[in-house]
Amino acid sequence: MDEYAIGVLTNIGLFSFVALSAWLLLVAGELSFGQQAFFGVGAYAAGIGTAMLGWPLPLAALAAMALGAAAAALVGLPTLRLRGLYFTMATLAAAEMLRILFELFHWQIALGDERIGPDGTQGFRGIRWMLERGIEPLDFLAMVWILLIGVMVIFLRVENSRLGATLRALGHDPELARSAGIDVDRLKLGVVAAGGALAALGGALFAHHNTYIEPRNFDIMLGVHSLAYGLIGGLGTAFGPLLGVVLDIGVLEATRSLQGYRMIVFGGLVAVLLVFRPRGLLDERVVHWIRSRA
Amino acid sequence: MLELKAVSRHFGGVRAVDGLDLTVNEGEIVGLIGPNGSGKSTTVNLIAGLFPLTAGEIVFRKQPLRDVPVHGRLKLGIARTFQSIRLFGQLSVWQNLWVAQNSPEDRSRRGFFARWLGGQTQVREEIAQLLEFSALGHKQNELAANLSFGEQRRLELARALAARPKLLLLDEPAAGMNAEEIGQLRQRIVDLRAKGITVVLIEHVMELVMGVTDRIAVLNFGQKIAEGTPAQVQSDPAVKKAYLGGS
Amino acid sequence: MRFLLLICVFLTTSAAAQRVDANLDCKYTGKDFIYDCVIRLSRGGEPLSGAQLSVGADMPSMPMAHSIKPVKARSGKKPGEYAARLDLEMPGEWTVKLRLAGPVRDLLIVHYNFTESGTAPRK
Repeated sequence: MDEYAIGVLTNIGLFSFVALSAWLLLVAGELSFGQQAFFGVGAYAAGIGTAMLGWPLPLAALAAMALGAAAAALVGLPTLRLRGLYFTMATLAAAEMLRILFELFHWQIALGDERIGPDGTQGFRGIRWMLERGIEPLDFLAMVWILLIGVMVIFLRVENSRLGATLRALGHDPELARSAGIDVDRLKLGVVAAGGALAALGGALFAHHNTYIEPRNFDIMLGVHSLAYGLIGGLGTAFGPLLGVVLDIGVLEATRSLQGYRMIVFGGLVAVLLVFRPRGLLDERVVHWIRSRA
Repeated sequence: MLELKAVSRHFGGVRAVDGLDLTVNEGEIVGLIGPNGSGKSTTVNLIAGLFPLTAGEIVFRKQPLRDVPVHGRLKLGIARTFQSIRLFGQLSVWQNLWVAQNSPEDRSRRGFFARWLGGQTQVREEIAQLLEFSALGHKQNELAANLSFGEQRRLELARALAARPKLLLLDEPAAGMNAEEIGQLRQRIVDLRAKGITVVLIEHVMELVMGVTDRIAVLNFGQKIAEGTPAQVQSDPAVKKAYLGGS
Repeated sequence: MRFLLLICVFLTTSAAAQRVDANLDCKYTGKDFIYDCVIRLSRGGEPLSGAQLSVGADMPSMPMAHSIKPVKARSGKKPGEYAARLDLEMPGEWTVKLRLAGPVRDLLIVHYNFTESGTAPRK
């Protein structure tokens, strides 16, 4: 495999984590424009873990996930009381606040003849854990996809469980869900925290793939795309957001067939789908139809 | 079993429910009737906890409900249906019943992980019974949104029963049904009483209310204007006035 | 087996090595938006020749989605110099990623503003 193919497949994998986290919230009935912030929290936390504190990556990634979950729960606690669009706006505002905090975040330590650590808008360079261990891009790609497959196995398992059905139920009609005895507030908080952890895992891997991160990596564009992937791919199955990522990164970006017009095509695609298939290509009906055939 | 003490709910200047007293005893089927806008559905929503009381108190089995959230009231044993049918349309019939199994019995019988992540086999029997009771067995894998009107009404009732209620609030369950379906519904309500479930029935279809209830309360402008057996209520002059010539 | 080795590698902690420095000088070719670049690599102040170098670039916003296909750099005229032609989606700020293979393995990140007059390091 050539370097570019490895790069594209790695990017598809990395993007899938944050797309899945936005999708999880969508299924539970919440539109979040803020998942990029937890991706960022994960990237910074894991970067600090390996590059500054000398932790192994698995430990740093776990810490990043815990921090991502905590940050998401902290944002969710006051904002989940808001309904619909207000929650969406609150997630966007919270994500921008976090990004500005990254810009203000300076903490560097001397390692050898270098100063390592987050340096505000100058970014955080030297997250070289992979390079120092001679881990090749292809090995890293394998790690990303093994983790992603692990996450997908969990998602598909949950999908077939009562928990999965309950999440869809509260996404469909939270008031009815309450009346049916579901503790909607607690469940949503759990969903938000799980989404935060998942986005943070993606961020942790991204930081180590790139070796360098900066606040602008985690701006609203990432959030909009993550959300759009779920809406394009469909809410009926966890394969939906992956399909969205593959369509955008894998087809539009990698083939370069549309060059600079890609964003226009992407925006148009989202608009058309929202009109004709508001719950995406693989929506609940399609998934139900496929299952009843199988 | 259920006691409403001087319960009021005002929406701005509108007194949807105004100083209502009502008692429901264990094992009874109580009818709640009245003209449109008389506060019947609001009363159900207050008992179910959808909005807070403006004044008064509701007590269920000696427990005041003021601070019990909506989902908590179901756990105490109060289940309901909605006037306009509400189902989880993107879930199958079977899943609609599955997600509604939130009774304390179901909680204590299975562990946390088994209840949320366990497979469908452990509850197959119980859900099969619910499906049989509501004659939906042949539609169990259909999406709820694809059901016919009558089937959706039956599924709503089955969903409420999946929570093993002690008190069931039925908000116009016969609306839009034909005579045959109403007859079947009537039989189901009688069967529920035999199972020990107390029922509060809001209904416009008089033959159903008069035929199945032990006692009826009549509301008008949020106040109770009459209460008694079906025969007593039918001959009450205040009721006749409210229904026929009333301002 | 390879995978088990990898897991062992994943659980170890790090050691420092001497870093490679890089800088970049690009000329706009006049064609949309192709740049001819000269990359200079050095280690400990000495020019670093003979590296297998590939050059890619990301945009700071959404680096996972806006990246260009990495190109292999040729050896340049002077020691430590390499030449590569970059075909960017648009002018503006890019994060240039220099991946070194062969005897020296590394990934270097440098930031440049690409304009119609050439490149300048990001402030």
